[in-house]
Formats: sequence, C-alpha cells, structure tokens
Amino acid sequence: MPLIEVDGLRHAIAGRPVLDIPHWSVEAGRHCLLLGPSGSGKTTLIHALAGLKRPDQGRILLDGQAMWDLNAAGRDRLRGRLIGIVFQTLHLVPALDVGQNLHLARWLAGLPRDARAVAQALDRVGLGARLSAKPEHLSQGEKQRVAIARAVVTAPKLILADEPTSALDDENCGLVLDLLLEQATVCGATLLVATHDERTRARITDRLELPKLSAPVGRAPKEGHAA
Amino acid sequence: MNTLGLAWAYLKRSALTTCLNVALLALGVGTIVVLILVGTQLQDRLAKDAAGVDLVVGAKGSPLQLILSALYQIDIPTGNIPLSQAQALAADPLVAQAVPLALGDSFRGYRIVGTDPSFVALRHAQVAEGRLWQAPMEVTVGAQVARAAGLKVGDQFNGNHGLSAGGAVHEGMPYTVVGILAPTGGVVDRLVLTPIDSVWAVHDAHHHHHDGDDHDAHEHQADGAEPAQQAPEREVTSVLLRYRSPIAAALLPRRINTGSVLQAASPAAEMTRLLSLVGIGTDTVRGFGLLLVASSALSIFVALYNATQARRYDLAVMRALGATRTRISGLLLAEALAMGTAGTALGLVLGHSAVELAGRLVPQARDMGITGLQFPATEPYLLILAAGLSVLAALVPAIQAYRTDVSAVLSRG
Repeated sequence: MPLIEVDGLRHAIAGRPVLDIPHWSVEAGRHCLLLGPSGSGKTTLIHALAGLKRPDQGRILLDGQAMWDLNAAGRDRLRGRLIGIVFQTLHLVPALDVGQNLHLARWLAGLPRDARAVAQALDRVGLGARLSAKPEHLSQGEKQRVAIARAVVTAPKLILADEPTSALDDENCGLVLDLLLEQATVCGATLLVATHDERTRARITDRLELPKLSAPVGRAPKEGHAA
Repeated sequence: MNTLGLAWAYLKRSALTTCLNVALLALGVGTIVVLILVGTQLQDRLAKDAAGVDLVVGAKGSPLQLILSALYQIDIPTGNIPLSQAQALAADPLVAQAVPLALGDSFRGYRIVGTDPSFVALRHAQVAEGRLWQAPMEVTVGAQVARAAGLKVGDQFNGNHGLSAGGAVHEGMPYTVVGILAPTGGVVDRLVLTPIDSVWAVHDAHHHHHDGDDHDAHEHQADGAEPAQQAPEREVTSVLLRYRSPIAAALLPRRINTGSVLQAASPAAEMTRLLSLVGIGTDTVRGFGLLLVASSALSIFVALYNATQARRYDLAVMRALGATRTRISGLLLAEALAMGTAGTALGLVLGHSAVELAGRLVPQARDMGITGLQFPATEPYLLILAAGLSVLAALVPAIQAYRTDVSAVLSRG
C-alpha cells in the first residue's frame, strides 16, 4: 500500500486551473520532491494532502485512508497523527518556549506528554541546550532546526516541507536538506519537499513535476511517477 | 501542554492587557460586592434593631434623628423628656410595653444606656456571663464592648462624658461589670447597660463638680423646651413602645405629636424614608459597578479580537499541527474565562476585604456592625454574570477562529 495515493485530482482557483493530477503515488520511505514554478499548485497540493484545503475533484489516500471522506475533526486527527509539517516561514509559537513548542505539537497530535521524546528530538537537531529558550531569542538557523524537530517529534509517517530552503543561502540550504533527510530517516518518515529551488534536485531523486497550467485543459498533463 | 497551559502562556505574553482586563473586572465586581454586602447588612441591621418596637417617643426634633439615636444608637439624641411624661406613657392602656432609655455618657466610644432589664428581653439578648444589672453603678455590657475593652465580670471603669470617645472622664464614680451579654449581631452588642439611676447619679455628681458647666449632649439638644435649672425633675432621653393593639397605631402617634412636648416616630415609616433617600445613591453606585463590569467585558472582547487577528498564523499553524477547530475555539474561550474568573475572584476578595477593613477601621461602619466575612446568597450570581460576560466577549473571536480558512492563512503567511 503506497503512503500517498492520488487519483484524478483537480483544483481551480477563481476559475483558473492550478492542479490536474490523474494519478500519483508515493511509496513509504521513498522521499520525493514536488517541483514546479510558483503558481503551479505545489502549496495547494500540500494543503490538499494535509486535509487543509478541499480539492475540487479527486481522491487522496493517505496510508490507505481517504482524507477527504473524513469530517473536519477526523481530518485534523489524521493530519496530527500522520503528518509533520515544516513551513517556509517556520512559525514557532512565540508565546511558548522551544520545549513547549514541541510539547504543543505532540499534544495537538493527540500523543501523550513525553519529555524524553521532546528532549531527544531537540538533541538530534543539536539544540538540546535550548529547551527553555523563547523563539525570539533563537537565530534563524536555530529556528529552522526547531521547526524540523517540531515536525518529527510526533513521529509522523509523512513530513511535508513547503519551500523549506528557498529563503536560505547555499550553505544553509544544504544543511537544512541534510537535517530533513536525516530526521526523516531517524523517525522512519517519508519526506515530501515542495520547492522551486534548483539546489534541492541533486539530493532527492524521486519527483513529481507540476507544470504551470495556463488555461483550462481537458487533457491530462504528463503523469508524475514516484515509485 | 493543555488548553489551560496554552491559554496561560498567551495571557502571560500580553501581561499588560491581561492585567488591565482583570483589574477592570475586579473593580466592577468589587464595587458591586461592597454594595451588596453593606446594603444587605444595613437592611438586616435596621430590620433587626427595629423588631418589636412600634413607636419611639422622645424630644421634639427630627423624627429620623430620634429613630437613629434611640433605636440604632448612631445619631445624637433630639433631647430629653421629663420622666413623669414617660411614666404616663407606660401607664397608657394602649401601650403594652414601654422601655425608657437615658443617654449621655460613653465608655471608649460605646454608649452607656440607662434602662430597665426589660430592654434586654425586647432585644432578645441573653446573659452569657454573670447577671443583669440590679443596683445603681452596676453594668451589664454587650459582647462587642466586652471584647474590645477586655472587660470581665468584676472589672470597674469610669465613664466619659458625652457620646463620643474623648469626653471628660467621670472620676470617682466607677461602674462595676456584673455581667456580659451573648453576641446578638444587633445594637445591644455595642452598649453598656445600667440602671437609669446610675446615669442620674453620675450626672448629679458631674454638675456638682463642674458648677455652671452645662455641656450635656442631651441638654444641647433640648431645644429650650425643658430648662434644666431645676435639678429635681428627672429626665429620660427616649422611650421605646410596643402597642397593645393595632388601634394604638392610629391613635397614639397623633395624640403624642399634637398634644404634648413629646415627639413620636414610627421606625417602619422613618426607615422606609431613609432607605428611599439612600436608595438613589446606591442605585447610582450599583450602575457604576455594572458599567465597570460591562466595560471590562468589552475590553476582554477587544483584546481577544485583536489577539485572533495577530495570532491568525499561530492558530493556523496549530490547526496544521492537528488541532481541531473546537480546540482552537476552546483556547480563546479558556483565555476569556481565565480572565473572567480571575477578575471576579479578585473582585470578591477586594470587595470583602474593603468592607471588612471599613468595618474594623471606620468607627461609623463599626457601629453598624459591618463585616466583610458575610457571604450573601446573591454572590454566586455575580460569578455566573462575570463568567457569562467573558464567554460572550470570547464568542465572536472564537467563532471567527472556528471558521478560519487555515489554508488561506498559511498561504498568505
């Protein structure tokens, strides 16, 4: 059973088609890039996969579960249980310290409180000492690492990263990708990175290329494969 | 991590706004608590001290002053009346009971009242220790007097001239404590009771020692109607009456007020008049308290509304981390409720402490027996009101957060 299975997915925003994926699947453990210029629907696909944005048509199976057959609360639970998300803008909760941000992620995912899991996740990104620092006192690089630790502390099966490197210089881009891959491997998660960043192409071989759809199309575009 | 912990983290982050909201609510609730406490205790006290007395008779003057001085012992008397007239009233067939009172002296601010032992029965007081007074210069003291002055049976003390503390001491005429009354919660607790003869004896001695000094508080009030140059004419300050039959209510006050130098005042009528006068003031203050509570609810609403705008991305990220919509709305409700509960609790503490403090420090409040350690049955409603208002304040932000399109917020972020 593939981890992600998408069939006949179509979505339009204000009448303009942004997504048209007849079939696409990702096997567990096969990290995958989601490539395409901006406006090609990468974020829309990520949000559709995460159960945050209902697509106009199509079916999404996550770990065998049809995401959009669930009600709102069910989608929230499935997302919390299966998915870890890394945002481009990171956005840690500023009212909480680093450790609490990780505890928050576990709590919202419906997992029991586990101080050891939090400490380990921070240790693994090299921030074991910053457990009680407030996000505003962290450097950008540290925030990036906390965001990754927060995504993996719930032991997700799928990590969605939306443009995680586009704001970074070459060196940090490499570091973040290394960290993402490493952390995904440690917790046994499959990594799906949406990016238009050319620098990521060498690191992950599987990919889904999303074309920019300019006009309503009746014909399916090139099918993406990731298996 | 849980909803309360998260709410606490956010409240702490905007500590200034949180404190302002809590303080506003606390002030509003505190004001209302003070009003409720003082109002109920005042009315209880007024009703209790008036129970069993149908009519108060004293010297001419303000009827309200007569009631306040004779019944509640909080104002100065209107003057004195001749003993013979008081005795004539007691013998009247319309009167079931007549209790004379003679005022003039005090002990540490507590009034020394010359009266019959029937006064104790009228007030439903009971002797806790010792016995009632019998001979002149024997006193039975109220519970509060005994406690405040540390008096025991067998102790002796000198009275002060006048009704307030600080008057000249009546040297050489000590009173002896023969009994202490059990607490009644009424005016008796604050009185020193003695035979009327004691009051006369002390003042005869006083006039003897201070020739030409006529600074008796009651004589000041005497309105010239009863010149005091003839010593033998005995006087009392007022008489508390109980009617024998309802007909007396129709006949007696009229007869006394028109036919003699005396004045009769009905406690019920005067208290109704007093409360209607005071009522306008308390209504205003109560309105002010409600205004404070309402403005704090509005302030909580604005704070939460701004917070949901400023925190839109935070809330969206929490949704992305798996938070259900209910949980996000619950977070905002929890923040509002936390502020509401804290404000109300603080307001209750403030209100009760303020009243208790006033009851201990302000002599007038102490005389009224005001205490902050009483918890009226209306207070739970205040809690419900404040909690309801804070939930109402959180409702719009919570619904907004509930309906947020997470995907749209995240895309824009």
